[in-house]
Amino acid sequence: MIKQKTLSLNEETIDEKNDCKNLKETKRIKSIDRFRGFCVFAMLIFQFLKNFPSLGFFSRLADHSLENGIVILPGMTLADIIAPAFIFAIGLTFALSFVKWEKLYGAKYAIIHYLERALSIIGLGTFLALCNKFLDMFGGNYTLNAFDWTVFAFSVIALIGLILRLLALIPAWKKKLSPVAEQIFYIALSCLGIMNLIITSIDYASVVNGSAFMYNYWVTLQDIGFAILLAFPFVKAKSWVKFLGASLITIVFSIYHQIGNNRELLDVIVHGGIVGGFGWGAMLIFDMFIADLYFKDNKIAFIVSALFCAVGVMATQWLGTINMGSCSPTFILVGVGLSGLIFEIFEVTDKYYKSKFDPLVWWGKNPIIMFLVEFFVIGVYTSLMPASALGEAPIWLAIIQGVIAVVALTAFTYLLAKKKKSISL
Amino acid sequence: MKNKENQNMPNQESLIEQQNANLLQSSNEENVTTKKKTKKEKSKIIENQPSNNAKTERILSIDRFRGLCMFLMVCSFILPIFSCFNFLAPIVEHGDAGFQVLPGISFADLFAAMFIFVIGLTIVKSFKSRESKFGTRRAYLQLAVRFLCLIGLGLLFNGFENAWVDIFLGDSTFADLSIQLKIYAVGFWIAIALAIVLLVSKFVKNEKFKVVASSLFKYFVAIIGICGLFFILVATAEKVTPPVDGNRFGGWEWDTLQNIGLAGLLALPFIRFDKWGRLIIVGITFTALTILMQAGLFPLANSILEGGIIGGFCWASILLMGSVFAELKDDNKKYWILSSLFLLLSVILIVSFNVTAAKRGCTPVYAIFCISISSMVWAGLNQLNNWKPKFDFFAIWGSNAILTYISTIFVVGMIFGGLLGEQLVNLSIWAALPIVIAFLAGFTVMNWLLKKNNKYIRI
Repeated sequence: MIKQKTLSLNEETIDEKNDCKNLKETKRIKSIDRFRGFCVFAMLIFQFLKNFPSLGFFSRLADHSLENGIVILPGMTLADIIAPAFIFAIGLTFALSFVKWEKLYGAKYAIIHYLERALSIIGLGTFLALCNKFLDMFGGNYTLNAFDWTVFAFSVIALIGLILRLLALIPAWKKKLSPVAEQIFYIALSCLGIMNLIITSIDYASVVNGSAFMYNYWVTLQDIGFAILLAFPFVKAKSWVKFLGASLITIVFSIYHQIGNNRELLDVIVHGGIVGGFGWGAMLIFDMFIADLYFKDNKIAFIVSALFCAVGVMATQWLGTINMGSCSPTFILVGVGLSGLIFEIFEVTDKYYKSKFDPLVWWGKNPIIMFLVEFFVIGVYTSLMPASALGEAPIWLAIIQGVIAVVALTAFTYLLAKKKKSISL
Repeated sequence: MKNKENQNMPNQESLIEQQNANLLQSSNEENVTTKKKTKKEKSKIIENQPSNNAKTERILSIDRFRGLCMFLMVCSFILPIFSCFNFLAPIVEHGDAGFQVLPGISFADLFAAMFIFVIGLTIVKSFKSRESKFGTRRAYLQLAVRFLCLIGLGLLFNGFENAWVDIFLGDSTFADLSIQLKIYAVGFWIAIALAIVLLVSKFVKNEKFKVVASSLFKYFVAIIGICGLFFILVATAEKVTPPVDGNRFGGWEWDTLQNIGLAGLLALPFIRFDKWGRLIIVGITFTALTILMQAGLFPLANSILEGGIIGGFCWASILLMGSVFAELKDDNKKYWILSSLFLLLSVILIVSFNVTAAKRGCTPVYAIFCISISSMVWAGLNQLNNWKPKFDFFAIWGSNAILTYISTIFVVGMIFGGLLGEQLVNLSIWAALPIVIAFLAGFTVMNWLLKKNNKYIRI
């Protein structure tokens, strides 16, 4: 959805309310934007720098492997915290955003929109996974199966919906075309999302049964979408209900995770697949709980985050190392706590940083666009460039490319922010 | 040691230190004369002070915390004597045999640090109370003597346990003992004689005699404490630079009481700092000691129980942090921020950076972890301040901590563990259980009776 005004809660929405409380809230939300921007920046730039081994430490920032990555806690690399941090950023504004939609369009529309949104995020991830499969197919390493073609068909419908939505930007067509285009787009993506949930469940059953064949449609966006789906019933719940719900999900998931070789089975599919998604969902609900505390009193949010993190690290003694691959219970706790603590750094700097030059805010305003940029621009760039310009590039060439990527992408985010253009699902 | 009477609060020291000047005056710990007030009179005083209720609550939580520590410490003393309770080893054993809360820290390792933390909860109030009554110099002197007495008492018990028990059992002769152990062994009987004189003085209506008897006992024990400090200092120096001829003069007679006394002594110079000043001192101490211990000091500290002089700095820091948290009690946010930060810092340093954590040697990360856990336990107990049952088990156990501890050392350490150790170790659970229950019940009744009669044995 392309909007003239971003739907994320930023300073503009707060400008509508001029009381002192909201001025304070503006500050807070700016720190959320910066935090989200940091997550997106880290995802894109660190991922890009990973292609240049000559950069040493900087090339290891996005590495998830314990051998090459920067290990910060038992079983956890620095790169492992970015996804939970992004989920935390979602959790910070999830409830507020829903309430805003509810006020603007009514409860029924808001619920449908958010369910569609969650499924669409999974659908978008499915589409990107399909693109990868096509690339593999063109490389001669993969043969598309019936499910891939089904996904392809729905992707085409979604693309048609997107094209129609772009056409609806023409003022004369907007009124008639826009609602239809929107529904085509959303329903197609939602169908892709539902298909993915089913096929990933089948994948996990295959893993449990020892089958070698898998469809492999589960990556980061799917995790986020599934976590939103799981957290959605709690969006308007009281803080203690969120905490209780997340605790229950975490306990049940932890029991399952710790039994037998389930940890290894969960590790086979990216981030634990749909079963691991329950862990990610619990993480998001915990994040929403901390967000509630944050809006009441930031200090309490900080204390709770620190306790989450400490308990998570302590629990590594009994529940095993932190493992993002299976979304281990310790990963859930540390993911929530450490993200909260990182966010607090932005909250503290917010008090001192008043400049209009705020690149992280620009980065934070368009996560979906930047995610697509990573996939299509950086992905294409790194697959097309020769090894001499990437893996074997001397340090000066790597620095030049890194700087260009940072400057170019920051300029792009600045333009989007300046024009107040954003895409949100 | 003084027997204080007629104080109607759960812990006369803590409460009175936090009450107004009138009440403070009537409850002067160092005052040899016993002032009598009826409960009605005291109730009136308390009723007339609006803030007293809150302060009473605060003391309840301190008493309960102290009692909890005492109870767990006593259990960790007595249960390992019987092999039939080996299944409880994870809870009561120190070191690797205990349940590891964090690498290097067992569950039982937490109790001692908690106890020192509890001492810290009242130390500043105690100092200020003395300062307001006797002046700064005398307040310092009183507390210094008090802590020296703790060291001295510990050494005298060591003199009995490590010298006389061995002599009685025929394992060694007096001539075999080291010079310092001879001093403590002889000192033990002198202290017993002075304690008898002190006891007799309580029944004699001669105030001067009471003062002299009390001072004699107190200063004698304090001098033994100074001797102990001298010997451990020499022993530490000899460990760093061993004597050329191989004959060592110093000695490692060091145990929990000595450790508590040393912690108090080392904390004493900073007692007048404000809470942030104390926090900075603790921060500097922990930083310096972490660097030193990681750079090779740890084996030396680890070679002595509780770290001896080196570990004493960390124990003193725990005590000081107790005083910091006591002052942050009414500021929940700052309290919990500090508490959670300490927890996070210690856990990450231990788990992620493999910084050495050990009670024996008292490494800074162990201390930081214990401080955070202690502060959280105390915060939890503060929530129960409005719950006042008639039989307050832990408050009862916390009312006469020093007496309980000394009695435990004597009964468990010397009689059960020393003289009867071989007979008790192989008892069946059905024989051991009644002994343990009777022992714990005996201590509960002793503390309950003392508390009921408002009798508090203190140094």
